[in-house]
Amino acid sequence: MAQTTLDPLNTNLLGGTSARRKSTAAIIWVLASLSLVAIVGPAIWIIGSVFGKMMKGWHWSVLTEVGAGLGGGLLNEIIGTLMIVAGVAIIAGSMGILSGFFLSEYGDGLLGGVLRTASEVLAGVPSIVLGYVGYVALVVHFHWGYSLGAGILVLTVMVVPYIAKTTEISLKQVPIAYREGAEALGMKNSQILRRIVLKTALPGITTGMIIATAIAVGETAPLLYTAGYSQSLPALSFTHHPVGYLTYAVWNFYNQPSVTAQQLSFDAAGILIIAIILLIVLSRVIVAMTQKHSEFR
Amino acid sequence: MIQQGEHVNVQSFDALASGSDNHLEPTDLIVSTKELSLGFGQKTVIADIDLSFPRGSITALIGPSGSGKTTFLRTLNRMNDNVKGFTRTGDVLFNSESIWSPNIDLLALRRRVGMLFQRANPFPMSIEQNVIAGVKAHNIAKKSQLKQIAKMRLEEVGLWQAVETRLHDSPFRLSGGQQQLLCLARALAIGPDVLLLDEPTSALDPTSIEAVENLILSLSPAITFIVVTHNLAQARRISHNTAFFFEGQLTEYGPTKHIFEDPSRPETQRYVSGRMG
Repeated sequence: MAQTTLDPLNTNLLGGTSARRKSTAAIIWVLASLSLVAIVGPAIWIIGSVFGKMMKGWHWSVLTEVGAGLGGGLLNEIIGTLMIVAGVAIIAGSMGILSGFFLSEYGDGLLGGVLRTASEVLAGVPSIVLGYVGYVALVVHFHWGYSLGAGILVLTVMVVPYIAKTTEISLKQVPIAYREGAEALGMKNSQILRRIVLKTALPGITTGMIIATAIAVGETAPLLYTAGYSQSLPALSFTHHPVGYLTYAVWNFYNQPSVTAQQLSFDAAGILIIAIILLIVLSRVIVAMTQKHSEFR
Repeated sequence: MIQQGEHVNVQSFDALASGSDNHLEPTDLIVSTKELSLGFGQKTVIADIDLSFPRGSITALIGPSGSGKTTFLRTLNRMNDNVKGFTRTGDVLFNSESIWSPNIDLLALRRRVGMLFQRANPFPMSIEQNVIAGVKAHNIAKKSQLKQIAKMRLEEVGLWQAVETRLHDSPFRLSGGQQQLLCLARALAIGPDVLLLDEPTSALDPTSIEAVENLILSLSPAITFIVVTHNLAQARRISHNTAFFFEGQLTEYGPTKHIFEDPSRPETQRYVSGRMG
């Protein structure tokens, strides 16, 4: 096969070879389409069924009321998730971006190697293990109790490697010609970084942040150990006050023998999916707004 | 094409090149190197270069690949300082002062000694912003003047008509030649005294090459040009003096006419006649 396709005379003149090529192309086309369906199909099916069940018994009070036993609303979980995600975005975001910056600019030596390896190992640790470590260290040893702070820190440890890696890669992909051009103009390092390097690397860094935030939004296991759960509105305190969050509602209410509770489970799932879609849209908007003049568009 | 010596007094360059530079005031030399040796790690790239560039002149640096021309050129505005393993002995004087002297501010030096690269490297910002990037960085003009500066520099390099209606577009939609002219406009906007050009036209088509060469000629003698080129015809067309680098040595330096028509060294003869390189 390989030989015949490499020989233009054969492929053009012999009908049989041409037919074989056509059938190969057809098979590949079918396989590619099947793969696409295998990805898009489940996504649409999950989103469709969750939204379907959410809409069937939707009450706007879900957004305005806190939970009450197996009923009430999801306001406490929505606020809790927002607070956890905001905390992770701020703490993990700054830590991850600074680590990625360090790895890309100064990470060639031993220290960089150690940091990179540690980060990769950390990314491979199962989330439930991180949750348990957080429980032993923060909840029990430091006496924080189930709390917002413990939840945020554990999720931070979980997602920092993603942000650091994507930041490092995006910074390294900034063409050296940009930096040299800017240096030759006598621009300060801080100006080069701000006006040229960060701007070019922004889509990659944003993508890393969005993935990290999406993980934080969708995580359950480590939060069970650290944030606990509460049906009242989260307190403005990092320690000693357990926090409710949407993934807990999905898991907990679905297992209850009550129609209203199961409805809440689907509502929480639907809100989570909407939140993730909004995050993706947000990242696309940021990329589109900043990359109008990109070389690689 | 313009004749040699139409813009500047070539005689003084000739005198300099033949080694009898006694009657030249030191201020006539804008850049000069003193026993300059450069290398990376253990490897010496060029050794013991004494070269002087008269103010307002156009000098071509020629020689086979790997002869150290680009390393030499990049050292003149300290672009190699941060390259890993870069080593240097000897000195480079800019207006009679060492460019590594503590009195010299690196950023100010680079404002005076600009550079254009082999591949056009516009920044990922609009065409207009590209031209004024350096002006903004050095804070040398009021905000209200920036648009005017951009227009003036684009006119200067002959790009204005082509980009007038798309100043806010991406520079990467311009042709390669236009991108290089844009980079030249960007370099000119901060008012350099010297421009270092590293094979500025090697990726361009003949029409763009002519545009760049005409610009260089028209900007001289206000700006001193030092041009690395593999295009021997180009060196002949635009330069007053030519330096021939070979195997890390400055083999020969003199008026361009002399280097091409009556070189003293056999290596130079072989190179300029096309029997080597």
